[in-house]
Amino acid sequence: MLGQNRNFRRLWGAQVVSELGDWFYTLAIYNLLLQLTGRAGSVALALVLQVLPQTLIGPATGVVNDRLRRKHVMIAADLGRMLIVLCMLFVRSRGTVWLVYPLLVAETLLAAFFEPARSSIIPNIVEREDVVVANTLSSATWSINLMVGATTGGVIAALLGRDAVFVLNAISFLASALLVLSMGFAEPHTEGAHPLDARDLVNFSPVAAGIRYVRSHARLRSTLFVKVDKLIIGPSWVLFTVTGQKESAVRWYGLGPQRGAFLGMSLLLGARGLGALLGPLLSAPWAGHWIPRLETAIFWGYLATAAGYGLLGTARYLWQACLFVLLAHFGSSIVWVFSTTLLQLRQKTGFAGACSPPTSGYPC
Amino acid sequence: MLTIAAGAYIAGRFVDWGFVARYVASAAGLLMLIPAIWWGLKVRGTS
Repeated sequence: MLGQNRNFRRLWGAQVVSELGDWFYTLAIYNLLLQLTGRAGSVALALVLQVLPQTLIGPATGVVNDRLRRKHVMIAADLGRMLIVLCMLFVRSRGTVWLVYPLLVAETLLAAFFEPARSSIIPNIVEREDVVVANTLSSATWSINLMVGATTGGVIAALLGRDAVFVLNAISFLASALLVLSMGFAEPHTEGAHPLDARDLVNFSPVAAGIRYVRSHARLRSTLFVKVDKLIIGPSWVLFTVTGQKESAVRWYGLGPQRGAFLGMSLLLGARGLGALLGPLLSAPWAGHWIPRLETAIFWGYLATAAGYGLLGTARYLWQACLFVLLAHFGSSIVWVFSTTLLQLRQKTGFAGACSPPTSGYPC
Repeated sequence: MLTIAAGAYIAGRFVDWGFVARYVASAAGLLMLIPAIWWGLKVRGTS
């Protein structure tokens, strides 16, 4: 498909460059915050500001992408994010560190408009029978980008410094915008679409309908509760940043402590990405769509998560920590992917969106 | 998203209170045993 479909090739290329840039950038932001404030709470606050606005802006992004040309939405989101990332270069001291937070919120909001537009145009640019393959490729690309982006981001930051990472991320957004600009495809949803109405932007009724539906179905409630495994994903960002700075910092001849910390953190996140990639990849052929096996795999996934994080406290070397993180996210990604599959198998199609927790950039 | 945010916030607070990050990670891992046991019992009960 990549070889034959020019539009999909460009969309996929835009995804690769912007997601790689995103992982570089995320590492750089957390490292910057910890370095300037010395508080893990500042990293946690950054993460909160990156995930909560996406939940609140959900209805608005759907309406905007249904009323406007998605190509324009994506280009505007990319260019906006390029400027925002460049503004991060102004954060140089404790006095200017506050600037990170509004910039993060703005960047997150634009990403929340970009992602639904990207996934929504896939049916417009590929044949109907190729949609599943295209979605699968996009999903696998995300996991690989996490692994590659987190690891190489650390190496680049260690070699070139944090500012270089911000500039590279800004360039990646520009490249993404240019790739999307060069795409040519029809957008029939805009024909006869109603003009944007402010009330539509804050319409949470589909979400409320989804909550009512889940409350009335006991089996769905228990499957949704499985998503409690995400409690481990938030702490991982904070803890990897802190351990990277302290216990897991790479010490190498000529490598400064800040860059060593960056590299240590990125290796831990790379291990996490590898675990997230391997978990579903190796276990999905065994489980398939057979519910008892999916349920059994979720149980073992939880145990692997508990074992991986439980053992992390005993790790004396960076390679040991990476191994335990890999094990933890091998299990966590199984819980994530298989519980989503269980949800999809147990719910009516019409409630698929309302019942599925938003994932965006933070699965596994 | 709420669970990701809540988990990050709690972990950050514990580290700022002086707990070693690796031990906070271990505690978080042990906490994962709770949903594991709950899920195991539920699956066993319905099979």
